[in-house]
Parts: sequence; structure tokens; C-alpha cells
Amino acid sequence: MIQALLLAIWAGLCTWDQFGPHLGFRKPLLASVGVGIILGDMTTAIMIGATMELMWLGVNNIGAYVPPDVISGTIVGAALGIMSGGDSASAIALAVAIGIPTATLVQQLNILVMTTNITFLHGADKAAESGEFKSINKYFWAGAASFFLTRAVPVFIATGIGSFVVEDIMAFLQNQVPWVLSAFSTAGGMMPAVGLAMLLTMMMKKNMWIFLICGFVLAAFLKVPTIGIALVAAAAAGFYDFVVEGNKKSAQAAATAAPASDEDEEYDL
Amino acid sequence: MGKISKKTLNRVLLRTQGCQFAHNYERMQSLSLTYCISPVLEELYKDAPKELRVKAMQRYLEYFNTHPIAIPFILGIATAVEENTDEEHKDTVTAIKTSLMGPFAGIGDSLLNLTWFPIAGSIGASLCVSNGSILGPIVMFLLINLLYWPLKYFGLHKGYESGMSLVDKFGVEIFDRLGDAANVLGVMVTGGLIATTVKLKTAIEFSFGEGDPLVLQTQLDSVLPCLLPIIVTFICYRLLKKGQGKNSAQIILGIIAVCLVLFALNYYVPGFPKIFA
Repeated sequence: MIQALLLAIWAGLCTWDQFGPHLGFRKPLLASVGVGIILGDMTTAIMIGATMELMWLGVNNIGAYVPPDVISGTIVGAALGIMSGGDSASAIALAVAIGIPTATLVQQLNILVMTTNITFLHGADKAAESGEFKSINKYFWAGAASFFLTRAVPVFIATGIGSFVVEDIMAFLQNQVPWVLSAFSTAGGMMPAVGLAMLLTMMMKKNMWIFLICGFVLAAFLKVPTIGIALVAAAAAGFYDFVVEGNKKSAQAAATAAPASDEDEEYDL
Repeated sequence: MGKISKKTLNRVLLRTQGCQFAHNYERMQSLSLTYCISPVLEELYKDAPKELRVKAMQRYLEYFNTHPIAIPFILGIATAVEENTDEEHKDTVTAIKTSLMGPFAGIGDSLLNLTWFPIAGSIGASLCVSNGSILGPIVMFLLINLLYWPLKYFGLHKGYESGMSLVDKFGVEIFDRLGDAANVLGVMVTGGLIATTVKLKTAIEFSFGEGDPLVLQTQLDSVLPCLLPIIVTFICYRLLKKGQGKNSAQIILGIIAVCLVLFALNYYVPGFPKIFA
């Protein structure tokens, strides 16, 4: 129970990271470190966190879109995966099986709180009429507390109840229906495809397929690690900018057939 | 320049660490933004009549939404403008705030959320996915924060020192250019990640009487490594395009359902081949 409480608090803190400083604890890999500390099994926690990090790589809040909540998904999945007492491969498969529905469920809670927080906004509107700058603080913190609870409560319930039954569930899965865990293990391996495809739907425009192929060839054929690809990609980005800006300039020069004005020179900055 | 002390600005910086705590669907970051800027307002409006203080707060309670990491910079500029305008010209503050939030939201999403976070995450995860090494999370944490803290700290202070001149100097075109560059970077890394992170292998084998069976995966690898991951990613891409990105949950459940069915058939139905490894 104390562990469930600690996990719930950790989930709330990670949520604050998502809505605040963006230190990175809103992502599975860093969220899993807290689970590892609380449950005393860092290695399994990080392996689960890394699997989920890759699985949910493309899951990101863009604009007003609220994605599945990877924080509660990771914490509940990793915690129950570790508590199940299975070997690391089974623990990861179980974590994926539990994490995905949790994330989808909490996503709905988040949408709910984004709506109920409007009440606090209206409260702040009224409070502002007093002219006291501090008067809005309590409404701000009320919103913050709501977000904290959206993750803390489900994590507390799931890990609190889960800790009693998860060992039996794991034994049942391993002995009676072993295909379920293998299926989730394979499905977990395919999950990054969804996240990456999501990134691509937002980034594929103009001539971007050229760079998609370059990146793929570097990884699949030349076995360049990600950091190497990122460096080559940074160079490619610089080169792309150089070419596009060059084209723009020559097009402008041809269109106006006049010497470049001062404004054009600012492009160089 | 500068009635506002560094200390007050740093209090704003601390408060911007909660820049979306009161997020809501009606006016997004507005309430949080008011909380963030209030140390500055308190100093500027110390002796002002009540009515002006109300107006000052209402300026920030208006609709506002941008990328969290851009908020310190925008507030830095807003502080400079607040300080240098009299009460009749406070519209400028709102105008600047509103005109900056859009471009910064776009650039923040494409440079940071879509590019830097996935890069940091995949580098970190690749270091520890098979052995659970603590090095992975540490590297990820450093990659994120060594970029984000300077952006936040210098964003606020430089924004305040130079006010709008910084934006005027570079112009809005710089956002488009940075966005395009981030796009190239992001797409290329994503291309690599398809090969390294999507794991799918087939277990299908054909046996022709005597001799070794023909292992399909070996054949596929000799045609094109990572062929199956490419196909899966492409199918997901088409489906997401069709559903305008709102159907990701259905696609995830669909993948799980397909895997469950195939593995169940393989387990219960004799003679049903193992499709995936």
C-alpha cells in the first residue's frame, strides 16, 4: 500500500512535469526510473521504460491534441510487470498489455479535467476584479491539483489492487495461455510503427521522402547509430536550408532583375 | 533598460515551470500565464489604482496558447513592453503576446516535441533497452535539459533585455526556415528509427520434402533489411492519414487484436503456422 501511494505521488509529479518544466519525466524512460527506485528493481524498470519509450516515441501533445497518457501507462505497466515476479521478457510483455489500456483510459480523464478546469478559470476571472495579484493563485493551484490527481488516483487504484492479484494473473498467463504474452511481446515490437507513422503524418511534406530514405539507409544498411544519424541529419538540414534559400534568392533576383535590397540581405542572419 | 530586477525575473522563471498547470479548453494557458507574470505586474503596479491592476490581470487572462519552452521568452518581451508603454498603449502587450504565440507554438512543436524529444528518447532507450543500464535515462535527461534550460533561462533574460528588437532583427521568416530545417532533421532520424526500433520478424518456413526448410525471413532480409517494419509503418501511416491522426488508439488495439488472433490460432489449431516470431 505504501508502495502504491509512492507510485501515485510519483505519477502526479511526472504529470506536473508534462504540464510544467518538461524535464523529461513525462516520458516513459525517465518515468520508469522512479518506479525502479520505489520497487527496488531498477534494471527491469528501465528495460520496461525503454520498451515503452520506443513504443510511444511518436505520442506527443501537438497543439491542443491530448494523446494517450504515457505516464500512467508506464508507471502502472512497469510496476505490475515488476510485481508479477516473472522473468524480464514476460514482465515487459505484461507491462505492455497493462500499459496500453491504462494510457487510453487516463487520456479520457485528462480531457475531462481540461474541461472542469474552465470552472477555475472563471473563478480566477472573478477574483481578478479584486485587483489583488495573489487572488488568482488558489485557482491556479486548484488546476494543478486536478492534473496531479488525474494520474495519481488511477495509479494508486491500479497498483494497490494489482499488487494482490498480479502474481496469480502472471502464473495463469504463463501456464494456461502462454500465447497471450507472446502476442503482446510481438505487438509491443510493432508499436513503434504507430508512433513513427504519427510523427511522419505531421512531418511529411514537400520533398521530405528524400531524407526519409537517407535516414533509413544509414540505419538499415550502414548500421549507423541514432546519434550519428542525427548528426548527419543536422548537416542535411543545414544544407537544405542553404539550397532553398539560394533558390529563393536567385528566383527573386531573376524576377526583379534588380540588385538585392537591404531586406534580402537579412536572410543571411 | 531595466526597472525589473534579475531577482523578479528569476521568480517568473520559477513560476513558468508550472506554465500549463491550470490548462483548460476555454483559454488554454491563460490562467497559468497570469500566475507566471504576476511578480512583474506586482512590481510595476505597486502603487497603481485598483482598476489598472484589474486591467493588467485581465490582459493575461485572455486566450493564450504556445509551446511551454517559448513562454519565458515571450514573457521576457512582454515584461519589456509592459515597462515601456503607458496605460493607453497597453494594447501593444496583448498584440505582441498574441502575434508571437502562433509562430512559437509551431516552431516548438516541430523542433522540440517532434524532433528533439524523439531523438533524445530513442538515443536513451537504445542504450538500455536490452540491459536496463542506468546510462540510458541519464543520457536522455541530459540531452533534454542541456538544451531546454538555456532556452528557458536566456529566453526570459534576453527577451527582457532586447524586447521586440530581437524578433524584429530576425523577422518571422526565421521561423519558417527553422521549421523546415527541423523537418529535415526529424524525418531523417525517423527514417533511421523505422529500421532500428520497429521489431517484426516472420517465423514462416516452407519445407520441400527433404533438406533444410526455406526460412522466409532470411529471404526477405536478402531483398531488403527491415522490409516488414517498413510495411507496418507504411500501413499505419496510411491509416493515420485516413483518420486524420485521431484513430491512433484504434490502430494500436487493431495491432494487438491481430497478434492475439494469430498467436491463439497457432496455439490451439494444429497445423496453423507460426506467422510472427
